[in-house]
Amino acid sequence: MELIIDRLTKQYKNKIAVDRISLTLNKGVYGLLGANGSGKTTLMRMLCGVLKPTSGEVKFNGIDVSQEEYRDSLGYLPQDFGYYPEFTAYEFLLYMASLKGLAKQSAKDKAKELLELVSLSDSAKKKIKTYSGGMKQRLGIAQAILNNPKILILDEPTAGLDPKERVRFRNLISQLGTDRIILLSTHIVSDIENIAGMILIMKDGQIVHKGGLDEIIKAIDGRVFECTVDAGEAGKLISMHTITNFRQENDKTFLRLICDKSPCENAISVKATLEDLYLYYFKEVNTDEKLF
Amino acid sequence: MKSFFRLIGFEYKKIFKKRSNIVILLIAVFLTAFSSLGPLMGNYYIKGEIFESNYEGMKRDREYIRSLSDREVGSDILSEAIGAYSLIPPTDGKYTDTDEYQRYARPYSEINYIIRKSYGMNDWKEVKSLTGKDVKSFYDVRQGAVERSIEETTMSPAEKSASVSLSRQVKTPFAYSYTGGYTRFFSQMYTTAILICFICSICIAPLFSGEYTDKTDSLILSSKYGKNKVIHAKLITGISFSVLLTIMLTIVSYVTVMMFFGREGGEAPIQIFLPLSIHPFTIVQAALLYFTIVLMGNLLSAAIVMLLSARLKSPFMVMVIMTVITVSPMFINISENTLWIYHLFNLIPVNMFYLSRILDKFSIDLFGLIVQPYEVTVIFSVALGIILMPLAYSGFKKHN
Repeated sequence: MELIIDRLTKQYKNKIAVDRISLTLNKGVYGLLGANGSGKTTLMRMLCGVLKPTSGEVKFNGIDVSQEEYRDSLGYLPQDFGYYPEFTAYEFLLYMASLKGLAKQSAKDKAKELLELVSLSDSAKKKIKTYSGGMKQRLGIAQAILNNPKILILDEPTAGLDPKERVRFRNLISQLGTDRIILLSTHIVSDIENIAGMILIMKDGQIVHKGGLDEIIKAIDGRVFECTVDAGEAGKLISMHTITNFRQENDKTFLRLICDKSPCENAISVKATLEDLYLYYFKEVNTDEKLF
Repeated sequence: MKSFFRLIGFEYKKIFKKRSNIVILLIAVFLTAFSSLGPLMGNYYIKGEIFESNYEGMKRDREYIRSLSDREVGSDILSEAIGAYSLIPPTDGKYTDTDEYQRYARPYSEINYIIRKSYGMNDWKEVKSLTGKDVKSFYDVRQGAVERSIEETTMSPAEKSASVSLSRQVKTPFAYSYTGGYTRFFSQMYTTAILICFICSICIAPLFSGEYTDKTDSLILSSKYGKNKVIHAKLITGISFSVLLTIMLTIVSYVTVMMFFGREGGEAPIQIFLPLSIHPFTIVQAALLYFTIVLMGNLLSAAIVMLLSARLKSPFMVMVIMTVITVSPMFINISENTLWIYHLFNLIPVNMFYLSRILDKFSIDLFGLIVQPYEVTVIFSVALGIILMPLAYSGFKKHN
């Protein structure tokens, strides 16, 4: 089982959204991490055949992305997707099952099974327009796995889920990831930390880093420090380094920061996390979202 | 194949799950039935007083005409009509308000119309001047009028010759019959056809573009059948919806009209309704032809809607453009002098719906083959529909 992405590029006029990405994905869960506008959604849409690449190709076990056989192996949950508000969840799943080529009885059985799995059985006969955001998201996850796909692409799948639902979702993905390729993107770093065997960091249309969690955070190993300093010192450190956490403690300020050497006398080196790495890589982008 | 029909079923479900579509369809049925009976509503007034209700008037006319039915349109009936109209005294007002008209001439009002058209008379008073000799040569005079009208056009000699030849195939003498149900059906079908055009635009417009606005396009296009079967299913849904709606509203029009006006007269020649028509059709044949043309016009309209739906981003834009396409030709009058423009203009769906144009005096020389305008309409609708469908198909398939 092999999904080959070969020099995949998408260019919009003078902006390159995805820049010559080449990857080979095998069985397992891949977490795609990147700031807004880094090209994650564009990449995923091309992997699903929804968006035509400017150049490059995508093949699964030798089958091109444009072929029906490829789509037969695919499950996709788009980031911002809609439903038919007048349909019930059950009808919606039956429709999606028809689109995915499931036989009538098999579609009915699978729809019931998945509604149960995503805890929507009680609301199965209610119109989707009455659903909350989390319920819609769960329904989206259900439709993505209706055809038992070999490739599952999930764009921001945990958006709108409450913590309990997120934990259930992670478990589900971990289970599914044993015999298929799962690529998921999220802003919630802990989701990727917990379920992704392989992490892909995307920036400016390129995969800038890839590897397992331990391997990937090696890049900032020994460069993450925590310290508690007075206000003056804190201001100075904030202006000089990437701050990954900040907390006011009485008249002192607690800081977690990334720098090449110990930033002050009482700083202690701590184990790096994926969140540290994420903030380190994306410190220049989305300046309006900066911590300070 | 089963999965294909299931997909069509879901497309219909999307249409009928929208309450607004159901309301529109119910309103369309009501409007069709209501407008079919429009001429029966209200009263006829003479000197400010109710003379009779329009319904009573229709029944009276029907009885008058039925009393003359099955007679030949020949010198006897024409002379009776001329005699009856001669009894109407000169009046400054409407001659139909006179007692003499109501008492003597009214039963012959349709015969009078045939006489005036055939003899080229604009004023009813001129009818009085016709002599017995004139009346005896009625069919020669009528054929002369037909051939003159053909000769006055800018058709090529081959086209004129074809039209004259066709007009000579019209069987004479005409058997007179009451055709009120069919003639009302002919008038009503224009309104019905336009209504079908609008409703199709509203209900079919979201077939493709609705997926873009609902943001369901990604789900569809990434699914197994998303780039083939489901697009075919959508196209079949649009076409079948248009066909079914045309059949349904035609039946509503037909049944309503025939229930109230009477359904006899189908075997009468179309010349009873269009005295100078060159086509050797009976009324019922003309009705079937009219239905076929309305169906073709609406199929073409549906194909245009689907193309726009696949190419534009919102159903609203599709509806706006279709409204412009449907309404604007009503305000444009194209001269018959430049015939190719005139014929092209008549190929706009809404312009196909005029029966008088369908059964007009023109023949068309199509690269050496002489055809009738209604044949061109059918060929054009099918051909353009066949061209537009793949464009709609690729529009959705390649949607990014």
